[in-house]
Amino acid sequence: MTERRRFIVKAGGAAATTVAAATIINVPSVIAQPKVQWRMSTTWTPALDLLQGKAQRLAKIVEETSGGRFRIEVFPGGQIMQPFECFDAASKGMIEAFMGAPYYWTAKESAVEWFATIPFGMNPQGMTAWLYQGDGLKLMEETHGTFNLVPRPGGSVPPQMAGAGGTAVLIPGAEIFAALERGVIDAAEWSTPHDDMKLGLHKTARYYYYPGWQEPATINDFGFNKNSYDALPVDLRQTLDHAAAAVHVYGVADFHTKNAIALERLKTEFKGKVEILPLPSPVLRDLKKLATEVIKEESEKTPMARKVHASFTKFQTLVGPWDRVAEGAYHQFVGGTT
Amino acid sequence: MIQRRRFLRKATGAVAAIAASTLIDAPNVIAQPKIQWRLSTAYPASSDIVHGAAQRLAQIVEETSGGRFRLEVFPGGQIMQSFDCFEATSKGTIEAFMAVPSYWAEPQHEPALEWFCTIPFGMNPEGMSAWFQQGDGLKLWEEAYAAYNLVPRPGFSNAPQMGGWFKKKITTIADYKGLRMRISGLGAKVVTRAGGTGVLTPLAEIYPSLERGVIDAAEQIGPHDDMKAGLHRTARHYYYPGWHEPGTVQEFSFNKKAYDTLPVDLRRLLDHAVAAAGVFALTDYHTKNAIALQRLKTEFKDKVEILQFPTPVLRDLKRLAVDVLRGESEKTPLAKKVHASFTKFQALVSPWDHVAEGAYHQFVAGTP
Repeated sequence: MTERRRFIVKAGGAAATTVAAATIINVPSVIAQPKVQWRMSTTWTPALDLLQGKAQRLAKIVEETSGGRFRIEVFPGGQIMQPFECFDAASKGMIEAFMGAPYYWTAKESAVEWFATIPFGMNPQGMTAWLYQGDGLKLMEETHGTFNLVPRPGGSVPPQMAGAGGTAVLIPGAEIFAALERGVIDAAEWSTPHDDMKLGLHKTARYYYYPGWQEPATINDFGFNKNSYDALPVDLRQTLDHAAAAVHVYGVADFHTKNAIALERLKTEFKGKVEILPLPSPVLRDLKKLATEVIKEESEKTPMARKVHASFTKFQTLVGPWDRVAEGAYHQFVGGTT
Repeated sequence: MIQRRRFLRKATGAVAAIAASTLIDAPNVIAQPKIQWRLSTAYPASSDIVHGAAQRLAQIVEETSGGRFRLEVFPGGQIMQSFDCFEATSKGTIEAFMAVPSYWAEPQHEPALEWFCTIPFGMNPEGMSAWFQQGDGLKLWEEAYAAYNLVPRPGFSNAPQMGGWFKKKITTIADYKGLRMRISGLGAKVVTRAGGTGVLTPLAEIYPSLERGVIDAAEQIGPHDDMKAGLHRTARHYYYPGWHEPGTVQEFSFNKKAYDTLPVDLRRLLDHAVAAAGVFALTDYHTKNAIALQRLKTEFKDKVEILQFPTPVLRDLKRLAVDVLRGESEKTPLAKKVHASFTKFQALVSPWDHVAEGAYHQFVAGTP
């Protein structure tokens, strides 16, 4: 039923009849303008097709809309450099661009956590609104700017799962939190059903918990070397900015569909092997209490973290009630029913 | 705190580089034919979120094409009446329009078009977008519009919406008996089936109609647009959720011949610009409604009650909606096909949505 990348394929197919004419029209443009070629390294392995796919999609949009004047060559982590070296490489100008998730760069600046996601933070709609309508992107530019980088949100990963465990006995909130805290969690919690199954997590543990309180909306970041970005002709700079926004739309649809398919597989093919369970409310409540303390401590580590935390919290307070009324009540009634 | 259009202002604020790049762009601008399109929306200019989205689209297209491609955007009523934009684009009088596809459903054209907009108890914005991009949604819509010489593109959702303003409280489904309500889309048929009368009062007349008691209830969009229309001064009870419009999709549609004759890079640019404009519009909708709701809860605290429809009422409305949808889907072969595709996709994504977003909402949304 699902046709992947149909939109793009179709656009390409429909173009066939007019390509000849268009190519001729475009020739002066191609000759008169200098071609721009960039390299982007990501933090993802090729197996993470949804995430790596977003980087490739950005390159494709940029190439298509610029009529081939601007090309971005995309490399998965490990090909031209180690996954987590891409931030520094783009910062120093060895490559022009990277893609990752802001919280990978926490060791450099605590504030980046808030640009990715925080436990019990905003959902994708809220994060996107903060970034594009609130102060989010401005603060992100300020933060990445100190590393000679121009950041652009690369879309969001939906609310994630809470993780998989080998035992159904609920360990106390504090211990779950410690166990799932980033850096230690790769074996327990990665992302969403599609990615988790690709990594084989469903074969290692029986209990699969939701909701993913620890990552309610993980924003990916594209980062561009500031000198390279500033040196782009203005139309290509804007092409790049708007392409990142378009990637957001396509990426959300991609994640939504692939995860729905993966969840359906877990519920049918792996019915006897995997149990999908909600975390009990008291556990969530305890976790939230702990999360509030952890976030407060993090926010006190740098002046930028304090500023970003304040902006984030204020925006969440603003959009939370509307979200509850608009989406929440509808979810409550209709979610899960067909 | 809220800085609207900051992103774009910043982009144009980068004046230092503009002079240099203008020179670089000069050969391009001269060598290529310029394309100028006209886009008429079905909305007044005062509908800042939706009409603003059309203006944003034009801005993105112009910026990313380096001025080679321009869309001139007109609000409804300026160069033609709001609801004439579909025909005008179909005939090639203008190249593009913005509206919602349900405007062109029955009795005008094809009942199948309702599903491309939203249906009662249908998918939310994420589900609609996934159906278009990853499922058969856009393919079917293109098929439906081919008959009118049009190419459709889903813009964004200004949804979920509110359930509407009611003079009297709704406690059971029986309260719909005799109720005259302004409500759009198939929701009107559900209200009628519940014993009321669903009417499609034009936007400009909602306020006076409620005020004078010509109608007893009305839904328009959400707090931001509703307050601009003054609806909070006419009825006390403001209900949610907007079961009748959970995913309302705004369309940007193009004359097929004009679209097909665009150079291929500009055609792609237009497609991607629609997606990019959608991010701004969706977040605009989210933020402005959050601000308006906060105003309702503070400034208008004593005048307005914000209430959730009781679950049994929603259950009854859903039962009636299923009947209405089945009836509509049987009217044409295309409606039957679109209904089947929509239903199958909703059955696929709902359990995931329930697990991913639903459970999180249930626990955390609304808390700071």
